[in-house]
Amino acid sequence: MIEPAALDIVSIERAPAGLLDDESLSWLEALRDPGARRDAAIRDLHALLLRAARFQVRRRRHLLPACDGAELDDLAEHAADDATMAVLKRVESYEGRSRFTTWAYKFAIMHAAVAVRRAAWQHREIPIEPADWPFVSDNAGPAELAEHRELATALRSAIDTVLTRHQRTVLIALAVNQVPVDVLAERLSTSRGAVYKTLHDARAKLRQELAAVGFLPGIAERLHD
Amino acid sequence: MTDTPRALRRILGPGEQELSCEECFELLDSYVDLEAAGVDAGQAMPGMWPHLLGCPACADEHDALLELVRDDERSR
Repeated sequence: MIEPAALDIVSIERAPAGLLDDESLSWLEALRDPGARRDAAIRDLHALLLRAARFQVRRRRHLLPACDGAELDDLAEHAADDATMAVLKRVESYEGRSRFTTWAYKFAIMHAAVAVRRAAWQHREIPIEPADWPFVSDNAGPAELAEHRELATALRSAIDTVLTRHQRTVLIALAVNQVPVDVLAERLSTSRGAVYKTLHDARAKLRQELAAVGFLPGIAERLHD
Repeated sequence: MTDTPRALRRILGPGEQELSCEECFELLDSYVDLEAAGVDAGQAMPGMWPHLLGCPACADEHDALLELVRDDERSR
């Protein structure tokens, strides 16, 4: 992971209150108001976040083909409720680095995205062995095909020899079988960040091993095609 | 049909210094506002784009937030 100190975030440092755009300032003042203005602002905030949650649920509704419109809207409502609570809890930490609405939206998008992914996987087992090794293109030419097969053999060998059992489980689930990171985290009773860190470390080990046996960086350059 | 580079990218990741999921969520709104404003967000926040290449969940949330913000911009 990158060290926070290495991040160049000079251009997004906390904006002085006087530099906040009018709309963001208005949201902050209303949510900090001790009176009835705050109640109205919370209702407006919930409506804003419900719109964002519905937007995300609609984008990913193909993941839930068995859900009808009412069930999808229920998911969005719950996500908006959770996001509203999260925003109210963190409103004092809003630093004005972005518009208030963008900052608030991200909570609704995240809660809705997680809800859809979890619903899509709720009755499915997590596959920890590869259903298929998707390394060989059906449309590759003979030379490319031979290269892909050679790489596939080296990669499978590296997965089986240099990774710990936990790293292998996480890598196969996330990167081969495409299980969502938060779904796997929930099943393993850990955090999304911890699971991704395991994946990150496993990837680094695999790259190191492939480099040691002569496959990188040539292959790595083509991965950016 | 198998897309070998994509399959390999999923396994080997971006191969660059990248943010964690927590850092990504923390900075996502700033990054998206910079993108929506046409600023080089990758330059301002190194590590974000490699993380989005390596983490499909964060990438999906990024794409959704950017779409939503651009929708707002169009309706302002």
